[in-house]
Order: sequence, then structure tokens, then C-alpha cells
Amino acid sequence: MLFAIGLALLLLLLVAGVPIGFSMALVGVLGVIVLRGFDPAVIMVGQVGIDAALNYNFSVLPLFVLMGNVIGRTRMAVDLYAAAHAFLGHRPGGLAMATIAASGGFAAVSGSSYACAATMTSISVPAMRERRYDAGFAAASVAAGGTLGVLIPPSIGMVFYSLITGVSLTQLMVAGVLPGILSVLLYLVAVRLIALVKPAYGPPSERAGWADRLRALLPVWPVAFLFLLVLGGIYAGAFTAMEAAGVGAFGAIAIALARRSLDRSALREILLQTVRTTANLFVVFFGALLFANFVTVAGLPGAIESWIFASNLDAMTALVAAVLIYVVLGCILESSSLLLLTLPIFFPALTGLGFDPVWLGIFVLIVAEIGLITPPIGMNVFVVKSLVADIPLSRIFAGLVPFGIADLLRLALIVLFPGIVLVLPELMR
Amino acid sequence: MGLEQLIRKASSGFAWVAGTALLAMVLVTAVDVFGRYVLGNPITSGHALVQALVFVVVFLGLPLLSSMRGYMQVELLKAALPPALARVRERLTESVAAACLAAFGLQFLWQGRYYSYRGEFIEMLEIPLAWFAYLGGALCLLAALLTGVRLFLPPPERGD
Repeated sequence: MLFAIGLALLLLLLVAGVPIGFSMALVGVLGVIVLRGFDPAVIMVGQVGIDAALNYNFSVLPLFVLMGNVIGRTRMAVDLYAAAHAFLGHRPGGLAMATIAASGGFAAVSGSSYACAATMTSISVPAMRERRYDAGFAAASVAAGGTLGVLIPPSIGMVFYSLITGVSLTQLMVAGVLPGILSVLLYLVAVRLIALVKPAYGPPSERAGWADRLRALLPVWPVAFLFLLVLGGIYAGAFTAMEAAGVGAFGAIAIALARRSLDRSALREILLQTVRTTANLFVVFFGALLFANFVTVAGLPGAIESWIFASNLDAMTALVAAVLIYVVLGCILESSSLLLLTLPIFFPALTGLGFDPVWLGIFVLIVAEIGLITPPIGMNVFVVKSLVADIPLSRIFAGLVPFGIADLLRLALIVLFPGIVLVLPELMR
Repeated sequence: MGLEQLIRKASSGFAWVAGTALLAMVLVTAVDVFGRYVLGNPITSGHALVQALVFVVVFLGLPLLSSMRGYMQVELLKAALPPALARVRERLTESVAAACLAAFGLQFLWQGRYYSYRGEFIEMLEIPLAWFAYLGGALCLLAALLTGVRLFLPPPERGD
């Protein structure tokens, strides 16, 4: 009962617009005060805050954010799009396919879906509209492509999943590779089907010759290099995730300097942007830790497990219930906050039902990703909308339906064939 | 010097220090890896150094966020309310944020006293843990103050 009141208060604070981290912290502390008394609650604040800020594993976040910000500032996204365009542009819906492929490439060196969506919107939507693509379809392909940032490593969501659950970040990053590739393929199929059913939505461009294709591919090598450096280093056991983040950020800065796309003022701005993002993520992380303490003290994970046991709920039904809750909450919360808020509740219950923690991490990330493009408040859609104000929201959401179906298909494939997620981490072990 | 200008100058100073700490994190990690694999000689206490730097980045980021009302929030009501009500909502939510920051700040200072009493240090660096807690507490209090002050100033410009 107390937890239900806490949850209601939390939702009220969130909807009222109290910053997400403070909302979770406030409810967490108030809950522990009621259950354990004032002194243990305030001692918890000091201890948890200082420990969290000195957590070595948290330092992976600013480094990956910095790497993504540096890449976003260089022309690498433009180059990725040009390369994907050279290979796919001549097909029906080819520019939208190029957008998906380039988003996948961008996601491989950036951990944020918003950064991915914002960067690709400014590059690919004008190009698609110039070629008379349907505006809703164009914007939807960018919003969907942006969600790949959550799943394709490095991913901020994975870092938070690891921090909250203690599951190895290295394992998660390796596990995300195949589902990430699957996501790109399914989105490409979705675009192709839309273009087949409604050819006017995505007329083909002229075919590029092989010489042009190879020329377009050349400038993309830094992205491939960084991805292989970070993921390859982790997979080969040469780096920890933290070291890979540092080396990746260093590599991104070195490449940007070598390409002369990073002057002093740009570097200053990128550093400032990264500091703000880091502090913001920390506030949410800190709030989530305090909220998680309340969840634990309230005995919620145990209560959920007992309830599942008493009601003979099978694992799959529990998973579907969790998916529904994630999709609903995903409508109002961005993915990191969503994970931090829900994992303390769902992780013990679902792993208790026998789900592999690494598999569950990837599954949850995909579900969180779906929330980014579902109405009424798919956050990625709003990022895109803020950059293309003249395209009505209703048209973007309508354009996203096939991508949503592709997401559901991907979830089904991952449930039916868990090996898609687990094969690479198991090979690594 | 006006209040707005003072906030801008202080923010610029914090941004400079935090940005430098962030770059130092990148360098320490990269040099540590390079030293280990190429020279067979990693940086002594590299991990502890990164921990200390990320602490500085996080807590210096708080006043920066406060000075621009940049905390992550759900913006469902923002556009839906009439202007007068929206202002009331904003003042209420920012006041809650300022109160939380102030409470955290005081608690971190108290935690610092506790660490000092116990004589705890960051392993390897031999820096008293209390210093970090005091720094975190002071910066949280400053962030609370800035959040409060911002309520009475015009909205910050983008990129401030």
C-alpha cells in the first residue's frame, strides 16, 4: 500500500515537471523515512550520493557521451549518410533505407538515441523532401533510426542497466551487437515494404556507379575504426568497458582534430555539453539509487515474486506484463530514466523467473526503445518534430506504424531465439 | 557587476574546470592503456584518479545545470497550461529542485564530517574522502542557491 502511494506521488511529481532525478530521490527518501525513520533515511542520502559519484564504473558514461558528442560535431554523420545513399539510394525508399543504415553507423559510435535522431534529421530529412518523399515517412524513418542508439553499443542505457543490476557491461555491449544488426535489417525491410505498397512515398534516386560507391565509402573509415577499436578491444579482452570508453573518446578527438573539424571553441562547447549531460545523468542515477533503496526496504521485489508464485503466473505472461508497463511509461519518460526507475522492481522478479540477466538487459533496452516512438509522447518523435516543425505529429506517428511492427517482430525473434542475444557473450566466455 | 553577469562568469569558470577534468579523464585512461600495453607500465593509481575526476565533473556540472534550468524533466504540462499557471508550476517545481539540492548539500557536508572523524581516504591517492564530500556538499548548496535565484531572473539564453 505504502509503495502504491509512493508510486502515485512519483507519477504526480513527474507529470508536474519536477526534475526526474529529484522526483525519484524525494519519493525514495520519504518512503525510507516512513518505513525506517528519519536518521537512516538521511544517512542513506549522504552515503549513497558520495559513493555513486566516486563509482569507477560511472566514469564510463561521460567518456561515451563525449565520444558521441565529438562524432556528432564532425562531418562523420554526413559521410555515413552519403555512403549509405551511394549503396541504397537507387532503390524504392532508398533514401529512407540510407537513413536507417547511417543511423545504425552513427549509433555504433554514439550512445544516445536523441543525438542520433537530431543529427540524422538535419542531414536526411531535407534530402528526402527534396526528392519528393512523403514528409511523414521521411520523419518517421529518422525517428525510428534514432532508436538504434539505445541498442547498438556503446549505449547509455546499457551502462545504467549494468550500474543498477551489476550485470557485466562488457557482456551487455557484446550481446547488443547481433540484435542491433537485426534491428537495422528489420527496419530496412519495413522501409522496403512501405515503398512497395506506396511507391509515391519514396521514389528511387539515380543509381551510383561502383567507383562513386567506393569513393563514398572511404571517408567512413573513422567510424568503422572507432567501433572496431571499442568493441573489438572489449571482445578481445584487451580493454575493460571503462578503458574502451576512454580510448574511444581519445580516438574520436584525435580523428576530429586530424579532420580539422574541431577547433578550440567547438571543443569547449562539446566539453561543456558533456559535463551538463553527465551531471544530468548523475542526478537521475542518484535519484534512482535512493528510489531503489525504498523499493528494497518496502520489500517489493519479494512481494512481486510471492505474488507471481501464488498466482501461478508463467514467465512469459510476466514478461508481457512488464513490456506493457514499459511501453506505457516509455510514453512519458526518456529511456535512461525509464530503466533506472523500473529495474529495481522488475530485475529481481524477472531474473527470479529464470530469465538470463544479459538477455533481459537487451530485451528491456529494446522495449525502452519502442517507447521512444510510440504516441502520445514518443520522445524521439518530438526531437525530430522540433527540427521539422511543419510536419504534423499525426503524420510522423502514422509513418512509424510499420517500424513499430518491426520492433514487435524483433522482440518475438529474441524471445523465440535467445541465442541472437546470448551467442556472442557465450563465445566470449 | 549585475547578478546575471556574475552567474555567467562563475558558470564559465566552473565549465572551464569541469571541461579540463573531463579531458584529463580521457588522457589518464588512454595513457594508462597505452602504458600498460606498449610500455608495460600503467599509470599508478589511474583508477583512483579517474574516480576523483569524475566526481569533480559531476558536482561542478550541478551549478551549471542550475544556472540554465537544465535538469531533465517530463514536459507534459509545460505547453498545455496557460502562461500564468505555467509560471506558477515552474516556480513550484524549481523550488522543489532547490530544496532537494540544499538538503543533499547539507547531508554531504555532514557525511564529510563523518569521513573526517573516521579518517577515511580515497585508496591509492591518499586524499581524504572528507574533502570530496565537502566539495560535493558546497557545490550542491551553490546549485540550490542558483536554482532559487534563477526563479527571479529572466530565462537563460540557449548556450549560456
